[in-house]
Amino acid sequence: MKNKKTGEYYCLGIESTADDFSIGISTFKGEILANIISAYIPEKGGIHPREAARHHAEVASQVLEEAFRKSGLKPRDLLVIAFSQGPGLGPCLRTGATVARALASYLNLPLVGVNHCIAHIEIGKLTKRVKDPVTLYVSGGNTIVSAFDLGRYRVFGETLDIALGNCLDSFAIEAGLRQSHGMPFGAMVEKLARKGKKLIPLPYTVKGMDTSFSGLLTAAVNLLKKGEHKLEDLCYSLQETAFSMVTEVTERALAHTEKKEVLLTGGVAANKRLQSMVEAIAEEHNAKFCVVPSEFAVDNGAMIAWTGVLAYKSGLVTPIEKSFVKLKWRLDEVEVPWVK
Amino acid sequence: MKAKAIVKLKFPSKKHLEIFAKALEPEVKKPATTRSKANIEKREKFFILMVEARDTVALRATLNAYLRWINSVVNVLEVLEKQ
Repeated sequence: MKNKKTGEYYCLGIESTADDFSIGISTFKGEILANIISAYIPEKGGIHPREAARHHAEVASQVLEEAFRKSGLKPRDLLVIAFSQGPGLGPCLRTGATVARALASYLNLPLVGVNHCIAHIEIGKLTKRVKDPVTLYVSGGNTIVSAFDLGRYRVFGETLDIALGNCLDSFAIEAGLRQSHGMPFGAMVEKLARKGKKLIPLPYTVKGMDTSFSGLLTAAVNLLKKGEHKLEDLCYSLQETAFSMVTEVTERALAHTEKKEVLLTGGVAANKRLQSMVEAIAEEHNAKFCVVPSEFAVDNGAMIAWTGVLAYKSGLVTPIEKSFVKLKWRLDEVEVPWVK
Repeated sequence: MKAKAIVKLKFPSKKHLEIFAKALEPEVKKPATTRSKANIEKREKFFILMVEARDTVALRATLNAYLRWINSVVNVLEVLEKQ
């Protein structure tokens, strides 16, 4: 309902597609009041979906409580509950969806299922005041070059196998690096890459407008195991090769669409080297370059809340009984009536 | 289906029972695996979870998933009631 003091409406968004469980609260005007993130960090290796889901179920109530505390709102102030309906890891998505359904049902509020990839684009547009960008969305689970056309965000290019972030993370794991809170694998690879000087040839795979990182990862790991190169040089070469691939596809999408804005979003968007490469092609095409702020680059509830607002204002609601999670929900399957 | 389990949980009110049923129904309708299936029923203040599985490994996994979700919702409702 409308808050009597502020005259505002609020949406609470739940994000749980992968290793982060997050709850965000947004006003209907796009002010983010809370964005609480709890990350699951495995002791060893990558994300185990069941273990990540266990983490999400354990922290859900604490994250919710913290979101209310941070925003200064009460449950009765909310108007809409949004949740990431997909794409993502099944056990993780189901945990977030169950919590969202319970909240909507208890508070008797409408539920809105949000596409996670679209939320990454929308939070970038909101925070950087961008209207119609070519978006490079790079994270641990997705690598997509997208732009809006005829009612939907269209995919101009994407990965054919693993995501860019997954490539960097997997290499870091093979190199024996250990991530921690505030220092994910990607940031460690970036830090090492800054000290690298020698560019080692690695497979550069762009097929049409799509990219492939699995061969690049295998080649980098094989070189790592041979022990003939410095880790810093390998990180540098891996980054240069992978980032050049996505930058090439982004540039071609930019040339084709002739859009005047480029948005870099997703967890890998925090990488300064990638930022500088994408900024360079944006400049060449006289386009404005924007990168999503780091707190909204990672998976977060605020982006779900804000996209929930946009969807709800366009009349989109997900009935609870039909709120099934969609593990492989592509962003180009979703109508986005709020973009004109 | 070779392995079966029934879990009976008592809730403080019919409203709570309804919330849990609504939260879990989509998962019952579209299970994550063909190795097991779950069903839920409401009987007065009792929430009945019935799981059937091909083997005890799948039975345990499905039971764990549902009990985890139920526990998570219990904690979330506690937060809402405190506010």
